Amino acid sequence: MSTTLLDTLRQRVPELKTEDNTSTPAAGCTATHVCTTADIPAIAEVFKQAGYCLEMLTCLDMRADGGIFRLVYHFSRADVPDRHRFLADVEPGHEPPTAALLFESANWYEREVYDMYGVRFAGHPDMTRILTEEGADYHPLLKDFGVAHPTDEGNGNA
Amino acid sequence: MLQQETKSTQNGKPSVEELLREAGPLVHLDVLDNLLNQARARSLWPLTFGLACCAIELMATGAARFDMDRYGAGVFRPSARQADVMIVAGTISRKMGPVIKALWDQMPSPKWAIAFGGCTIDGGPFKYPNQYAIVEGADKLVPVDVYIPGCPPRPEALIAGILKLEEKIKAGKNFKA
Amino acid sequence: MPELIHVGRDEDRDTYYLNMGPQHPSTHGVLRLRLLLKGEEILEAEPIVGYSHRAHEKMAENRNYIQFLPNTSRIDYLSGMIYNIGYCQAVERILGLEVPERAEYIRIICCELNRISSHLLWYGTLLMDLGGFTPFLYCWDDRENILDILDEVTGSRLTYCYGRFGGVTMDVNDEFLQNTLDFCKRFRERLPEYETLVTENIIFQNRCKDVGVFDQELAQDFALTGPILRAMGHKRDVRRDEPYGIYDKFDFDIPTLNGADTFDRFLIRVEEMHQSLSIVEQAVSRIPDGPVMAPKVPRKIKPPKGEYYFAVESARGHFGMFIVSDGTEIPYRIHLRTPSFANLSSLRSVLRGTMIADTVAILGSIDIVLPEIDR
Repeated sequence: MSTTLLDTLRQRVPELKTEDNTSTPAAGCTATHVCTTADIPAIAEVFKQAGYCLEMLTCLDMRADGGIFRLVYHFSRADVPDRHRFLADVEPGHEPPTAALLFESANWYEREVYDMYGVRFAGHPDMTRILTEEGADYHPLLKDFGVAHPTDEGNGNA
Repeated sequence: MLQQETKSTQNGKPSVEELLREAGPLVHLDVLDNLLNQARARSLWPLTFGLACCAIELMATGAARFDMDRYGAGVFRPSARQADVMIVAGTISRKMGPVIKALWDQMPSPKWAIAFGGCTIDGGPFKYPNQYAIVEGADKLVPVDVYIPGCPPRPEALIAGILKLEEKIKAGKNFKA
Repeated sequence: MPELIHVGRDEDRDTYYLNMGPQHPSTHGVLRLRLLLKGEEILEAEPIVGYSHRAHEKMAENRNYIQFLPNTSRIDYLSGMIYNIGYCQAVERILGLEVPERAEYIRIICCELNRISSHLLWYGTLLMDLGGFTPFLYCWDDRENILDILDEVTGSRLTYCYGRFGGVTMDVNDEFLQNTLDFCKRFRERLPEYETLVTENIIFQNRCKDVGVFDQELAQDFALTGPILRAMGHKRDVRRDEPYGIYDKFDFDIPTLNGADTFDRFLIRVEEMHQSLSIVEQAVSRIPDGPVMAPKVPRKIKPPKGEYYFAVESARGHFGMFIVSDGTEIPYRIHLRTPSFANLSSLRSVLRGTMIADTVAILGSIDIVLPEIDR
C-alpha cells in the first residue's frame, strides 16, 4: 500500500475510516475504507490521478439491518496489484453522486445498480435500466423482491 | 362423425362451409405432398440463432466432427426469411421473448421448431419459484415439434432430434400457419 | 393516391440508425448494437445488453454455497471450468481449506485445457465473421479433442461441475494424462499450420492491422482486463499478480504487445495458447500421487460474517467474485465481476469513427460471452 496515496486521501477526506486487510488474504484487498457517498467524487479523483481504475461497483441491500443500501467500490491499479475497497451507505430514496464522469466503466456499473436495486445516481448521463426487460417495474435484487411478486411459476411469462 | 357434428348446428342442417370442411380438399395431391415432404425433411435450413450455452453445442453439431450436413440440415441461414427450422438453443430471457416471437413470425411456412436444452423445455436449471428473468419454455412462444433434453444436450442428441423431426415431416404432420 | 413523402436535401440525409442484433450471426450471441451511421462511418455505437439475463446473482441468494456450484460454469460457458474451480477456490480461501496437491495439479491441467478450448472457439468464430469458414473447422477439430479429454473425467462437454470445496470430484487415471500429453503434442504440430493458414494470410492481415486501435487511456477508464489489456502493453494477469492455486510454481510467460489493434489481440491469444500448453505439460510431468479431496470438509458451509473478494484469470480476463456472508449457509450476496461486462462497455469508444464493415472484426477480437455480461 503506497503511503503517499493514503496521505492524499486523508487530506481530501479527513473522516475516512480505514482498516488494513493485508493480513487477511480472504478479504481480497489491501484496505477497506468506510466513507460517505458525498466523498465519492473526491475519492474517485484521487484514484484517477494515481492511475487506478474502477474495477467493480455493486450494492448491498441492508435495509433489514440498519435501513440502508451499501455501495461497494473497488479501485485497482493497471500495473501493480493493489486493491482498495470503499463502503458507502445510502439511505433509501437518496441519490448518491455518480462516478461516471471520471470513470467511464462506472456508467454501466451504476446502471446495473439502479436496475437491480433502484438506487439512482445523481448526475449520471443515462440513468436507465440495463439488464432487465423493457418496461420492468421491479428491482430484482432487493431482499423483499420475489416474496409476493406476481411472477410466480408460469404466471406472467410469455 | 358427420352425424354428431350436424346435430350441434342450428336448424339440424349443416352449413355449406361445414360440409366442405368435413369433406376436406376437393382435389387431393397426396403423392405430390408426400414428395414435397420428403424433400423438406431432407433439406432443413436452420436459423443461425444462439441464445446461451446450448448454442455452442449447436455449433459443434455443425462443425467438423458431427457435421450436420450429412442429414441435409447444415445450411445455417442468418435470415429468418430463408430458414425453415428454428433451433431454440439456450435460455430465453424475458427481454428476448418478443424477439423470438418476431423471428418465428418472419419465417415462411412450412416451418418447425426444436426446443434444444432444458431451458427451452421448462426453464431447466434456471427454474425456481419467483424466477423473474426467463420465459419457462420455448413452447410458450412458438409451437415446438421436438424437445431435446440436456444441459446442454450432446451433439448426438441434436442429430437424433433432427432425425425425429425428419420422420415427423415425412409423415406429413407439418404445421399450417 | 398515397401522399408522397418529401425527402429534403439537407446536410444530414446520410445519417441514419442501424440496428444490429440481437439475432445476428456475428454478435456472438444476443448482443444488440444500435449504430448511428453517416454513410459507412460509425458516429455513435451503443451496445444494448440484457437479452440473456438469467438472474444468477438472485439465484445465489436463494440457495446455499454448494447448490450454487452448477451455476458457475453456466455464467461463462466457454471457460466454465475456470469459473467452476475459481468459485471453489474462493470459498476455500474464506474457509481456510487446504486442497491436496494432486487436486491442485488436476485443476490446473483442466483449467488450462479449458482456456485453450475457449481460445480455439474464439479463433474459429472470429475467422468465420471475417469470411473464412475453413479455420472454423480446423479449430473445432482440435477443440473436440480437448472436450473428449475433459468429458472423460468430468462427464460433460461444456458446462463442467468438476470442482468441489476441498478438491475435485474424481481422480484422473494415467490414460487421462497420456491423452493430455498426446493432445499437447498434436496441437503443437497443428499451431504452425494455423499460422500458415491464417496469420500469414494477407487478406486477414489487411482486415485486422490498425483496425480498432484502443487508446491507452481506455485501459484505465473502462477497467479493461485480459488479452485486450495485454495487447495494449500492460503485463497484467491474475495468475501472476495475485497467484491462486499453485500457479506460482509454474514457469510461463505473459505475452504483451503494444499495437492494441485487432491483429495484436489475435496474436496475444495465439501466444496464450502456447503458454497454456506449456503449463499443461509441466503439470502433467510433475503431478504427484495422493488424494484428490481434503480429508475434513465441513458438511455445512458457513463462512464467517464478512466481505470477501477472490479473482481468477478467465479466458477473457479478470473474473472476480465478491461474496458477502452473514454467517449462515445461504450467501447474503454474490456479485460476479465479469471481464466481458467491462470490456464490452468500451466498444462505444472504440467503434466511434470506424467503418461499419470493421465492426464484426473489432467485436470478435474483444471476445465476449453474452450470458457472462448479462448474468
